[in-house]
Amino acid sequence: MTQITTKLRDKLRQRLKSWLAKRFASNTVLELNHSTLLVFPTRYGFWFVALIILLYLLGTNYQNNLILLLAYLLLSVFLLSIWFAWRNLAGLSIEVSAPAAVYAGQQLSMPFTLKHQASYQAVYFSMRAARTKVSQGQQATLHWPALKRGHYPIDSVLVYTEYPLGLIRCWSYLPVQLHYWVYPTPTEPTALLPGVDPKSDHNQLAPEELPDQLKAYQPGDSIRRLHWKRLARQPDSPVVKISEQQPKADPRWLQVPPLHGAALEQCLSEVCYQLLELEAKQVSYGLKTPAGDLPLGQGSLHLQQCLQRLALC
Amino acid sequence: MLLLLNGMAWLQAYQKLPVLSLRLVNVIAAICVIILLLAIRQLGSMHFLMHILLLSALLRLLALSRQSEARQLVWVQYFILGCSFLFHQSMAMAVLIFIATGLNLLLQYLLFAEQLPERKQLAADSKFLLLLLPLWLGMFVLFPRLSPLWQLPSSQQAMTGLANEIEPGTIEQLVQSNATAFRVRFDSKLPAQEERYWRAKVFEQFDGRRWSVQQNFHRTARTSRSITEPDQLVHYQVIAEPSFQRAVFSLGLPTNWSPELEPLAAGLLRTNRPVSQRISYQLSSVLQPIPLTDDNERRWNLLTGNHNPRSQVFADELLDEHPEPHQFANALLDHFRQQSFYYTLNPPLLGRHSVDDFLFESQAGFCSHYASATALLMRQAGIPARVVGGYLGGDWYPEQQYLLVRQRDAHAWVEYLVDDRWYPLDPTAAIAPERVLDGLDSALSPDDMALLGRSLFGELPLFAQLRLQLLHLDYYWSVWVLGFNQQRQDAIWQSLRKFFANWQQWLLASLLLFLLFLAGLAGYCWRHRQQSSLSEQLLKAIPRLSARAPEQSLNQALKLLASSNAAEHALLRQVDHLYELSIFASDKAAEQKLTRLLKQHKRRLKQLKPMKGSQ
Repeated sequence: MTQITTKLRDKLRQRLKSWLAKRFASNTVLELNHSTLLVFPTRYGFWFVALIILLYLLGTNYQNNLILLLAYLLLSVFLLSIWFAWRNLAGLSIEVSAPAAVYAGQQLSMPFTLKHQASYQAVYFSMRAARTKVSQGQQATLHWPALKRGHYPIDSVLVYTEYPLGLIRCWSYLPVQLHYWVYPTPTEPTALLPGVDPKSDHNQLAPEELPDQLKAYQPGDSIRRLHWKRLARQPDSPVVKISEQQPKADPRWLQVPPLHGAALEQCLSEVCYQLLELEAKQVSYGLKTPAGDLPLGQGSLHLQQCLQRLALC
Repeated sequence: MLLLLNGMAWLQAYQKLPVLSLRLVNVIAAICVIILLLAIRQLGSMHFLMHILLLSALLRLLALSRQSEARQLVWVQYFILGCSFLFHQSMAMAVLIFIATGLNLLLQYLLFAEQLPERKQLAADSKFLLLLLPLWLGMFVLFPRLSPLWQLPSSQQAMTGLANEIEPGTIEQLVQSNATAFRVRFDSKLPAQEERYWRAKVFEQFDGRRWSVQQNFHRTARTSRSITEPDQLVHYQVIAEPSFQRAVFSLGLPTNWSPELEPLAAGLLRTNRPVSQRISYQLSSVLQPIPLTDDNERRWNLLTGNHNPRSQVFADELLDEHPEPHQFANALLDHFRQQSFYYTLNPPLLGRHSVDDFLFESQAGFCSHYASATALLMRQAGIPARVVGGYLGGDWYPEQQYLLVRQRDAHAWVEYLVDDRWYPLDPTAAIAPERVLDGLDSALSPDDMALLGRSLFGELPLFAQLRLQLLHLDYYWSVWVLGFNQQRQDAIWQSLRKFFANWQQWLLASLLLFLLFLAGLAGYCWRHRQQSSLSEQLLKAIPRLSARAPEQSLNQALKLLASSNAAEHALLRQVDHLYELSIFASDKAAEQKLTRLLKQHKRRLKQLKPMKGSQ
């Protein structure tokens, strides 16, 4: 039963979101007005209405005008609070910018820029579990923890207010259409894994041609490691050289082997750390992932691309 | 107990005591409930429930730890405030309760908004808050009213006013109270003081000393309304104070009454529930003798009991002289006048044969003594008679147009049956005609006055005046707020309808509405014009500016425009300078100057050549 109701509610919410998205004039500056705001009593509001009905019945049955007077007072407060709740949001124009990319485990923050001719009080922004409250003159930023690396879309942000008495909720779903990146948490490599290890700084020019072992070529293997001589003889079965030292051979290339689960995460975290190290040293570097390679490069844009690639692994 | 708990709550708030644990609170609650249960007999169920509610709210306050609990508490407090109107309806209490409601609303506001609004915002909101008032009162006045949907228990309290039995001494106690019994507003002419006999109860059972209401009144109430001339009718509205009784105060024979009243025998009426709060009812009466209901009534009112033998002898003697009932009544009054009877609030105590003792020994008494003796003598003479309890007279306030009847106007008189009609007879009128004509105070001796403690008010006229003004205020309160009922509402609707009956009024009203609408529209437009920003004004005044490249600021565009329009160079530089000043230095004077400049050179600014630099 609860499943059905939650399903129905989700469906309704989805409907509302898409319906509202069409009604916003622009996607960058979101203006809240009569065509984009929804108003409905809160649960407390329904309790309040029940109270009014109770008082009305009491007043009617005892023919007590003062109780009726009280009931009408509460009713008019209720009606006025509809107007107040609406006015609190109407005319608000909101600019949303995508949250800056963070590493998993850090806090994401999505800033909002609010503009309003009149004043506004206790406006909430909420997205999934994250919630923030702003009043006049305060900076609105939505914070939530980035749990898992990846590239996430934000299709809508709920903005609502229950001002002034918590009886009426006025809300809208902002069709923000943003994305944010969560990169893997950088961790210092513990074991000898593909990539740069501290020792490699000293023996960068280690002998490259050591006894090689061969294995069948698999998609994703670097072309540089192809056994070219053998390929000339047997073009139908390419073979690559593998060697223990091979990754160290070129410290500028960071590699993500095709792993799964926790091992992959660990590897990504360490690669991420190394990427940051390399960027800090201002060395050019490249990234090899099962999904493809990124050429050697340097600079914040390149780092960003590399990190994004890691996030998507 | 409540005070103690309240004190604890204060301590908690100010000394930062920890919130009580739920278990401790439950223990306190249990103790309190036990104490209340012990007192339930005294309190009555309504009070008991109210106390429980209050207690639980207070205890909740002590153990408050979450916001949702605070919300529930606020809700319960609204309910408690509503319920407290069941017990208190005086104006002062109502003001107090509405103030408390306002505080509760503030509390709710703080719960959700978490901070008080700033003064600036409050000023902006206040005009919307003012909307509350017409909304509220409009609803109160125009919202349809229902009659009670079902019966609810009413709060039980000791009855006040006339009791269900009269024995020597009861009325004397009552008249010592200066409290208001009821008020009356007359829709027709005010009857004279000596006609204002407010009937409340008839006492038909006599046990030799005590007159009591015939409880097993199974007589069918005759509702046949005698045909009377409309100008003989007295129309009036009674606003009765809570008495926890059902007796209705009426004049003579009621012919019309509001639906919440039900007719009883003997021309009496009663409310459908004990009057536990101030109520008002509408009545029409004709000041005529009340017709006999049935033969049982006649029989009951002849019972004398085997008491008071001396008065029996006296009644027989008197009957021999005056066989006709009316003559007999007059002879009785003459007897009271001629003998040394006197009227006092403080009569000597009477024995078991109270009428004998009064008639032949003490010869001093209050209205109930005279009524009791007269009724008995008539019964002994074979004329059905009974004692009627009610109020006589009342103070008329011509400015406020209402009659105030106090408990001290309580009175007892007699009705006797001739030709199937009950004729009223007031023996007090024979002893102390001032009582009937001028009220109680004029009929009492100085000693009696001292007994009533009334001299105090004579000495302090200012105080008395203030008291009276408060009474008048209370009257308006009860008429317009407490007594606002369906009939009054209908009357308002009716007058509204009447107002719109002819087309001129319609025209006037629609014109007024239209004007209001126009005024609203004008205000709206004006506000919007005010709000249009300076850059918009600039863009509107110099259309060429809209052709600027998107990354160009207005300042840049203005400079470009100035360079391409050599003729207007000075003007444009000035505009640019003023714009800069008003935007970046928030210079209000520059802003005003700029708007003036734009207005002055409207034509010239519209005819500028396009910018050179614009792509």
